[in-house]
Amino acid sequence: MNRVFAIAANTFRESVRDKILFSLIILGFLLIAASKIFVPISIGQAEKIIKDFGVGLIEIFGLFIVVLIGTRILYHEIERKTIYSIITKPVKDWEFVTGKFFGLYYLVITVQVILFAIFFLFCRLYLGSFDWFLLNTLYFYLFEFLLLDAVAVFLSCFTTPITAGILTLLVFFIGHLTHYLRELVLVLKLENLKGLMSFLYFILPNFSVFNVKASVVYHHQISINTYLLAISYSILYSMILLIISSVLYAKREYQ
Amino acid sequence: MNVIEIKNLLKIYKSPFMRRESIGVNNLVLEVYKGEIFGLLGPNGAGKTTTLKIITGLLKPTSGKVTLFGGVSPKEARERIGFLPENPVFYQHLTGMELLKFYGSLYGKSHRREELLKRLQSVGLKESIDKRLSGYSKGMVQRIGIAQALIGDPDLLVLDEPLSGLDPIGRKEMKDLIQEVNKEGKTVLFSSHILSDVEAICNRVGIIIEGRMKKTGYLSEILKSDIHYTDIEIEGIKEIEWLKRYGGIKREERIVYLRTRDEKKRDEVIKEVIGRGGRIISCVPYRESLEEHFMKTVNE
Ligand SMILES: Nc1ncnc2c1ncn2[C@@H]1O[C@H](COP(=O)(O)OP(=O)(O)OP(=O)(O)O)[C@@H](O)[C@H]1O
Ligand SMILES: [Mg+2]
Repeated sequence: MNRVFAIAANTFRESVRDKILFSLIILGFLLIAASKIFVPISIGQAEKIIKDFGVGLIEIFGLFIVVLIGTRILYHEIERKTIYSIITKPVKDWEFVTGKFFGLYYLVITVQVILFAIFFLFCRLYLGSFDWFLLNTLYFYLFEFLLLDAVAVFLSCFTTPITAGILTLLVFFIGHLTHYLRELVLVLKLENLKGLMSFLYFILPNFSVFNVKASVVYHHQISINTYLLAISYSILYSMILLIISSVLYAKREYQ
Repeated sequence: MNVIEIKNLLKIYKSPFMRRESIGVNNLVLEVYKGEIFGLLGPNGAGKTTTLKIITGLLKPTSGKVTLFGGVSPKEARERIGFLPENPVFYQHLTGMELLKFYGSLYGKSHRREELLKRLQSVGLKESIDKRLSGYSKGMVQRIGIAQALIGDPDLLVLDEPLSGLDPIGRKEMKDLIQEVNKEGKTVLFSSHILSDVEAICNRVGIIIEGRMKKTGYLSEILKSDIHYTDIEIEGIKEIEWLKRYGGIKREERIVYLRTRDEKKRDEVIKEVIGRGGRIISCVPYRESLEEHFMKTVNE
């Protein structure tokens, strides 16, 4: 576990020193601040729009980090050959894969938490108060991106970063929609697509379990089961993906 | 017990498109004894790197057997091997000190700062410990590369061209360091192009050509078993025809040069020259250098 932690910390440190973390936070800050320009205060719904925009933006940032950086972290080590002096030390393949996975996850969490803090300050300044109920979304994002991180690492074990990036995006969007798509197919009685939809529904990660945005913005009660489902689903699914990734990774050669 | 034992090793590189294949090593045999410094020689593309990558488990053999420390596979032996890759690349965002600390933690133990400082000092990097690797020169990278290979206190050190990129002083220091860690009991296997360096520090060498081990042996044996000759400079002899019995001759004004390939004849000719009132100016025996031997083996 020490080794996993060392590799994760090193991955995180690299993104900090390369100023990736810093640039992301600045960009997030600018975008949150920009919402003031687009939303005139006079409109009655300004508060709701800003909340929507803020939490949506923070989610998109998480998505971008995973898709742009997450799909490269393994590849990068191989391409630069820095992997040679890691994998020839007593590091197991699963420790390397898991270490990179957590390194990326630190980065995602850090950006999410900092952006939430910026959003908090922005709301205090602009709306006069921060709606603490919004923090619920942070909880769900943390588990959503844990899973998406695992998806990216898994896909990058056997494809190029670009392919893995596109596939990760697809998995994210389809994973948010499978629920609706399946219902749509059932309602419209599209018999041909039924099999395919059920397949997608059961195989692809179901990201709608993390989607509580509507409830949060409108202050609907979120049941304890929803919290529990998000955490257990995310951890279980990620673990399965990491195990498969490690097995795939162990077959690799370093030419 | 041999530290490395390789039998009938075959490595075929397959390109992703499966149409083109190239042979890395072919039917290679290698034994490295405990406690020795073994030098792997060969021209570009001979298969040195391929061999070393298989020993460290970075590549898998297509067929053949690789046994380390008398019975374990490369992957199982990682705890006991230190590896310096060819043209190594390390994390640019770390300082020398941080890099060693990181690699040290991969052995599951944390190293004390003084310990790491000593390591950095031994490879001549004391001044640059707190400088990021992005600011290191090629030679400095090579030095930190050796330091990271030594960090886990390995029994076997595998170095792919450890002397490349170093200036003459650096080469000398590196050779001293290799001999020093060898005295501590570490077995060293390294590849090189620089024959004089290999000649200076190796016990045994192996010459790889086109993926095959053409020759292995103790340096003293390899070089002795080959013909050598003696050049004799003679002065004060008028009549020179009789000298031809002993070997080829060449005359330059008052001096005659004789090259003889037979040690017995050498002694005889010296006696006769003196008996005829001549003088021996010099008598230089030529042993074949590793370089000449190498060139001969390559051209065979
Ligand atoms: N990644 C690779 N893909 C395909 N062929 C390769 C690959 N790496 C090496 N080879 C081939 O294997 C053979 C041996 O290469 P290797 O790198 O082991 O040589 P080397 O002795 O280390 O040479 P050098 O002195 O130039 O470092 C070469 O003919 C080379 O073309
Ligand atoms: Mg090489």
